[in-house]
Amino acid sequence: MRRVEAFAGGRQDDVDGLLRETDGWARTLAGALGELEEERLAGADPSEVVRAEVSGTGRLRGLSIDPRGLRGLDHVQLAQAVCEAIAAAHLAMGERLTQVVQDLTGQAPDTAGTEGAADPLDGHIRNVLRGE
Amino acid sequence: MEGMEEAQARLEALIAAAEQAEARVEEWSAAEFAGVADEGGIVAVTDALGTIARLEISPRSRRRLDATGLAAAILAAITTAEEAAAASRDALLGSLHAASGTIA
Repeated sequence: MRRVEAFAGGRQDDVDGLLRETDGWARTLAGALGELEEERLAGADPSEVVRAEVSGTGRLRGLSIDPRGLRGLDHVQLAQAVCEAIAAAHLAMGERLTQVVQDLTGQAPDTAGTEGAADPLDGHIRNVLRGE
Repeated sequence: MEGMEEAQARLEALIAAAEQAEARVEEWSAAEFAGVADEGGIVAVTDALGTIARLEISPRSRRRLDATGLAAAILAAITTAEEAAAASRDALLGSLHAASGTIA
């Protein structure tokens, strides 16, 4: 049984164990965020003239413009296409981020909503509120 | 009684620091960061989180640069704005960290 589950179940004696466990989670999360920075997610504007690449943390890392498609765009339309390509890449990043968080918490996508995202310390908090 | 006064003074310092921190975060969250390329012909503006808010490409830059040149200049402008936003966030977090350290 995980420490956090024991803690929530009323066995509150092993605080050191709980802290070690949360420490481990923090390290895993930091590691996952570090890996995300190295990842590249791509997106394009609807006409696929502009392609953008962002890191897993959202920073723009690459931009390419198709010379043939560029001929049909004036300065305003080009700016618009760049913004659309970056927004599409950010959407891909959001999906990747959701996947990473689900992998870390061990939750299937369909239970990640209301009940699946339940606070593991919920039982403990309810005990405290009841005065136990 | 001395203990109570000290506790009161500490509490007041804590509240003042929290108010300062709140004001700093509010100021930061409303800020915008700009990056410029091609001699001012391309201007990118991001919000505090580094998300692009506006991109302006001058007709002159559009005419003067080819596809590769435009992509490089736009990337440079946006990257500069993103870095300015990230530096501002790091400075904010640093100052909040330093402020909380002085209370303990």
